[in-house]
Amino acid sequence: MSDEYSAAAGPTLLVPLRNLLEQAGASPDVKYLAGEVQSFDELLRPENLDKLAEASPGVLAFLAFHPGVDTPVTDYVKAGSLASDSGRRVLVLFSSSARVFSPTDSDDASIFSGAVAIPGVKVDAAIQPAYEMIRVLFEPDPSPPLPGIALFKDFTDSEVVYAGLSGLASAGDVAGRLRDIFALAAEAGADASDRRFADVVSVALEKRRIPHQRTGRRSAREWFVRGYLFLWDNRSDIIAVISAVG
Amino acid sequence: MPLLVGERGAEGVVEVADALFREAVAFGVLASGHEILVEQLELYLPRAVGLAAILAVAEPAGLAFGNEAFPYWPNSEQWSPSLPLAGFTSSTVGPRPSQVLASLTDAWLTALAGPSRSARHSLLLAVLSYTRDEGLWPALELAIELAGSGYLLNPTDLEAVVTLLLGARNAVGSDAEMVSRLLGGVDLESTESLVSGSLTTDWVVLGQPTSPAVGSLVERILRSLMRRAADARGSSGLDEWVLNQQRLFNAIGPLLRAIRSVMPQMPLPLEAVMTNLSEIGADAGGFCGTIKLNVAGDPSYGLLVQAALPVMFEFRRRIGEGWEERLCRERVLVPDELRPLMLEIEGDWPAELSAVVDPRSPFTKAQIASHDARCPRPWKELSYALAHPFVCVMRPERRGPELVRGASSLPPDLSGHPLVVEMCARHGATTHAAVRESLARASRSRPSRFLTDRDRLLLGYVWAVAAGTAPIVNQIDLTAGFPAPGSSRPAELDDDLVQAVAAAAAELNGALLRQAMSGIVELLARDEPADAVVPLIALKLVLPWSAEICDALAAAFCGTGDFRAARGEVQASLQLQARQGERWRLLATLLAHEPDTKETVRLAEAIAELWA
Repeated sequence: MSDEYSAAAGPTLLVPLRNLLEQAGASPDVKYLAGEVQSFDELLRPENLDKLAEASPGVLAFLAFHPGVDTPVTDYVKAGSLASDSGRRVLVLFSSSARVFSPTDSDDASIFSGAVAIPGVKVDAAIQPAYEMIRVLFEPDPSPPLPGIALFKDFTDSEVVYAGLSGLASAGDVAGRLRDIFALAAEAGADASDRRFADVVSVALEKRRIPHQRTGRRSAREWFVRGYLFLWDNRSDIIAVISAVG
Repeated sequence: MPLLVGERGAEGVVEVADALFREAVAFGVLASGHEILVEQLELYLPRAVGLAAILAVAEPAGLAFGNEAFPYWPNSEQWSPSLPLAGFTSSTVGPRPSQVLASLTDAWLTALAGPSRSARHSLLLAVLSYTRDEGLWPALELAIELAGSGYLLNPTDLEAVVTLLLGARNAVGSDAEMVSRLLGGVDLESTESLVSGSLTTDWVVLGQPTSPAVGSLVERILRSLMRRAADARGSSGLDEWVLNQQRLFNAIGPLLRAIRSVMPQMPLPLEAVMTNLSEIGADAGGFCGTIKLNVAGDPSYGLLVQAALPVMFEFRRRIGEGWEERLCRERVLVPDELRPLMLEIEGDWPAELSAVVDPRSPFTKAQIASHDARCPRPWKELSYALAHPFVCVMRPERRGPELVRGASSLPPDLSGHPLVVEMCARHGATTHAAVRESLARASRSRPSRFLTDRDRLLLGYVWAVAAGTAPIVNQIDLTAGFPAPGSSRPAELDDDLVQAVAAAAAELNGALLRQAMSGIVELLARDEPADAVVPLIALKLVLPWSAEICDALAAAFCGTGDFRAARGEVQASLQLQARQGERWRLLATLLAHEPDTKETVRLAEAIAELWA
């Protein structure tokens, strides 16, 4: 008999950001025939993003990776422990290579159907949704390399901290690094004020010798909306990791 | 994939047994959640008894379960101590089909015999036994499969058991500890101890913070429901669609309520998935309720369109471009196979929701009419495979499927039938217009004894909307699963008029059958079978569940030398009425024309002796 429920337990449950934003603004119990579906214009209003942040567990994270190139990260996401590693205190988002129209899981191949790495062939990462999100986050400065994870407290004018995941050879290495990052981010998210969040996370990352960059103070909302719309227009999407654990 | 398999060369008989076994499962699935009466079960049970007799003859000849796993729990009559107490069937070990059929019928009788607690007790013991052997998650999957296979006439049993198990697991450190504490002194090895023993559950307290183990189990339950929703979208025809909708409705509500009971603080992403599943459950409940209440007639392609159009209208209005993809992937309203057809809109969308909610609106009628010719046959109406479960659960007032008109054929005009005219007059409807109005209402109604209070409330609401005296409620009460009934009162049903309409329709359909068959019998007697085939096929479109027509078609095909087509008709006829020795003998004769059928011919002859 297996009592092991805390480790990777099959594919990770995922939900499109659209559904999440709709849920954040939904009234309890009673739905219209069409549920809470809304147009993009309505969905991306500042108040809806704020509701998402309010209803989120404390820290928002955007995991940026190229599914065809950053295979240790892809393997880690597919392996299924991302939800239990991040727990309820960190809401992890990442980009999908295709639009996602309903809750799904990490067995859904369309989410990762980016360019496949072929030895000796250089893959153009400039068209990758995750790359676009990070490029928009850091512009006009040069963006840091993928893979990495952007951590932020909410959608106000605040700093985003981007921790690198480069050079990790296996899904196990990625899991180890991310567990450290999630733990310190969750701690910072619970204790630090909005304005001090980036400082606290940055110091904690530095102590663990985890390479990272800060964006400087900027509108996380503007970044997010611009990036999201760009992805959607290019038939990509942002999805959230669901965790019932922790 | 066949559920039942036989020795090489036994396929002809095994196919009939397999279909009848699946039919029994379908009865259980349809009956679950509709609070059927004992008389409805009594209407169906002789068919299960017939199947048991067939299995008793066929099993010694090698009929067994195949590779499709079917869930089981024990029954009180035919369970040997060497058999596991619960699990999934296999081609190599475990209970025989007859034993599992007995478990299924035993479960129905138990549920209707008294308080639901006994079925709940059986489910809990089965799940605990399987947890001990395989772990809690496989056992929870078994519980969901048992519910989806027609064992649980009351879906709240699933909710109660899953709630208890999640709550219990939340309080302990391992599956083994949970089993041990729940069982107390009950010995899982002893069937006697299991049946008579009482479980220790007072230590289970709900509402505590969710442990990682239970969090993981919750995620698995949600993934399982999402997979079941995807499977339902992939249904291959209306039969499967109707059963899958019922399964979704029976599983989603109870399981989501169980999850909420152990997870009072729900994270936002999880809540978003729960909401999506609740919407699917509400759609499924609405669809199944519409079928039961008969407000839109028997299941048909048109009913699918009517159910989907209001949601399509709202998705289009709110989302704009791309609404189709989202609707198809998020809800279970448009079968994958019918996507191109159902999304092809004839004419312009109306401005008001009311024009798509009303099944009689020109817009709705235009959609159905424009699709009709291209709608694949399996989606037009229920097949004969579901005829008996459908009639026994949803239309027992018709007594049997033999004289039921196909949903896609024109109904007979009953307005001049003496039974209807007399009953209308008794209700004060004497003019032709008043009779027609009463008739329209009665033919879209049900006798009240087969409806629950909530059913009648909903019926009252539907009628009030149709009469324009109640507004269309564009809301779904996710906690209840059915559309909110608003402020309408329960419908006052004219039972005698509804019965008169059913009797008049059966009489007219019977007269039609007799008249048509007399001409066909004449053709067959004159040895002109080829001339009989075309009118028989036309007649079968009107009365698709008539075994008599299948028999005549078999005879006509035999006459033309097409023995394979004749065999198909006899098998259909046997599925509709299996307790006919003559039919089994005819099947044996027809199978003898095919190569390598010695075994199945012998088997068919042996079964024929049961009803010689």
